[in-house]
Amino acid sequence: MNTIVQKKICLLGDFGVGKTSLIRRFVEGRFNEKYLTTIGVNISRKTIERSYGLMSMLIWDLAGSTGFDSFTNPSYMQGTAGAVIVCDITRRDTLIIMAEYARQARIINPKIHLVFVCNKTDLLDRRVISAEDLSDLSSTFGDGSYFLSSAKTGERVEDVFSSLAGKIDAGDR
Amino acid sequence: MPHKKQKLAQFEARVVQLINEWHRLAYTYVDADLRIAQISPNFPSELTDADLTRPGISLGEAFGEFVGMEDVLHDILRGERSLFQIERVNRIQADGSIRYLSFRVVPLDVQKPSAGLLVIVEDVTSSGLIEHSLVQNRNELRFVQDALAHANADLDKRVEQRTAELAEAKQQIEKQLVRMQALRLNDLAILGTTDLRVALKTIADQTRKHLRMDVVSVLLFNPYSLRFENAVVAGAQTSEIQSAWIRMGETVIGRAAFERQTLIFPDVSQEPQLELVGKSEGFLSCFALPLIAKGKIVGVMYLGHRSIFQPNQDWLDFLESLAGQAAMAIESIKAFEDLQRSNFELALAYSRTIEGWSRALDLRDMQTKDHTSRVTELTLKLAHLVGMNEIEIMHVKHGALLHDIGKMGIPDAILLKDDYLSDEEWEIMRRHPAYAYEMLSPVEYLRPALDIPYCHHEKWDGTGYPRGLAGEQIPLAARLFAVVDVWDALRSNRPYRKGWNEDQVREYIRSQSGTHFDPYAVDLFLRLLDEMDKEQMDQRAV
Ligand SMILES: Nc1nc2c(ncn2[C@@H]2O[C@H](COP(=O)(O)OP(=O)(O)OP(=O)(O)O)[C@@H](O)[C@H]2O)c(=O)[nH]1
Ligand SMILES: [Mg+2]
Repeated sequence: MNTIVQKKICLLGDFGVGKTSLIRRFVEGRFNEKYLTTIGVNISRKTIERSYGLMSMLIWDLAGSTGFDSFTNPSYMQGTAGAVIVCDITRRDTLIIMAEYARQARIINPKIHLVFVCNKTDLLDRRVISAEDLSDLSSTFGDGSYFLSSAKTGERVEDVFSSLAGKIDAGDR
Repeated sequence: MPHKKQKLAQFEARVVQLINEWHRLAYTYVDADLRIAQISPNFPSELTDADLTRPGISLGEAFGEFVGMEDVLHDILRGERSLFQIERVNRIQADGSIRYLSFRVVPLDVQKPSAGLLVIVEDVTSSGLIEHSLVQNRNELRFVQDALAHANADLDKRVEQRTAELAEAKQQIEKQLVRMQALRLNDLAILGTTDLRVALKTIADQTRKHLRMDVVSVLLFNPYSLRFENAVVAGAQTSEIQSAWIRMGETVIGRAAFERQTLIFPDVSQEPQLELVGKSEGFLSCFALPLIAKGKIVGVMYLGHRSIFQPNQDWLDFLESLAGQAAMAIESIKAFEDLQRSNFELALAYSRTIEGWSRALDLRDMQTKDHTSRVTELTLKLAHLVGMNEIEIMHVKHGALLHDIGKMGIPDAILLKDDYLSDEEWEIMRRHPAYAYEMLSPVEYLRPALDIPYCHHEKWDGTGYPRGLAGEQIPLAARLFAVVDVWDALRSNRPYRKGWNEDQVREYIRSQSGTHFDPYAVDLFLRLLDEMDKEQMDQRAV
């Protein structure tokens, strides 16, 4: 019952979609309105309970894209069990970038587990990405499911990470 | 030599030390099992939470960045790769500030890579901070651009929405305008004609056009037969509606009238009980509106369509307006027709009366037979020639028939005297135009006919009676009549003389032109006589 598995996961997505904020909410339970961009990589750890024991998540927060040709360095994705790909519900372009991340992640690692997240749902009045768009994208690169989250309110944030953990576990079995 | 070598080694060590210090480099040696074997003396302990001195600690345990990277590291150990690099690894300091590190992994011995790996850790915070501020600025700028684009799109959308609203409003107004024009056209048709069928045809056509119906008919209620009969129908292909003869309360038409309400059947197939009118037309929907004027049913407007049609309120409102016009047309034109009929009857009664008086006068006056009718006929011909209108001609006719009505006031002893009249008698005799005036002027209907009875004894040169009018002071009708009257008198036999022949009379009349008669009237009259002579000759020739 004291099994501990260590898993590396990545957060991918366009700049400013809330990757760092989702991790901070998940790991520290905090949120900051102020935008501080991430360059390079920032690793956080969080251990979650699983039916078989514990999963120690090594969460890679990567710099957001700076354009179409500057996606994540493929070697950073080495040994990654799963990725959370994030878009921003108020910016349509981030959906297109999301699709590109999904495509590249699948090329680098065909077995990678993906969870699609549309973040900032507390800004629903500025919504420009529809449910149809999201389920369409998720069906193309995943199982058709996706999360509508808010790092600000914490809505569905835990679910995002436990869903990914569940997929990883299921894949390992 | 060894001394030289020693010197060089000492020199190299110094260079390495300086480079280490300046670039803040630290390094560890990792064995082929990826465990840390040795760390450089200057290795900053705050770079990791792990205890690097613990024997057998793995690289992954020391630096989380290497978890999962085993494959890449083994590639280097196998000599398949010469360098692995992780750039700008973030380390959050206790004060919240970020340190940026760069990890570089190379073989310790290029000749024998399996011997182990050298992990060089460089502190790149200063260049990292510069890069961070550049990226931060760029991303913030993009956020602003995004927000602007969003606001722009929002504006565009609102403009589009407003434009659409305006276009819709414009369309509505245009529709209303077209409908108002249709209603106006109907009004003009009602005002411009006294023929009910013409007005109703216009309304039916307009209704059919603007409500896009296949067939529109208006049926009138006949109060004698108590049936609805078709007055006009537009768009029909069969004679079913044309020949409709419908009792109150029967069929969809009679029901609308009986119930006094608009009946709407958008889909007649849903109404098995419906007594449809226009089956032969293939109607799939129909509409019947009672036409009510002053509370009375005057007819029904009936519309049929050859497909299913669900009207909206707008359509129904317009239909009500059109039906209202049809009812108004029926009401006002019927009223006009009634008035016209009673007017006509009145005029007929007057004419008969006037003719009766005229005959009575002739009898009393013992005028030569048909004098009055002859002069009347000739005077009317002249009136036509001078271009009088229908009504003026009617008054001329009445005036001619009654030209001697004033003689009713002259005693028989004078009027019928065979002998020459004395001056006093003449005096009385010459009063007859004034008597005519007294008699006729109170009768409004006959007042316009007074010109001849009152003025036919006036003379062009002003020597006539009763008022001594001259020239164009004398009404035209009287000037024309005077010539005709004298001509007929001279042509007729009298107890004391024989009638003159035509040439004599013509000559006499011509001689009086400009004194007794208006020269223009004389010319016209003589030309008329020529014309008539010619006609007679032509007839005889035939
Ligand atoms: N309202 C709202 N704001 C959010 C949410 N998540 C993140 N933000 C804000 O969005 C901005 C960007 O958030 P980050 O978490 O830094 O985004 P990131 O994806 O890590 O950005 P990069 O590191 O530049 O790629 C910050 O100002 C956050 O406060 C959210 O759920 N709701
Ligand atoms: Mg970030």
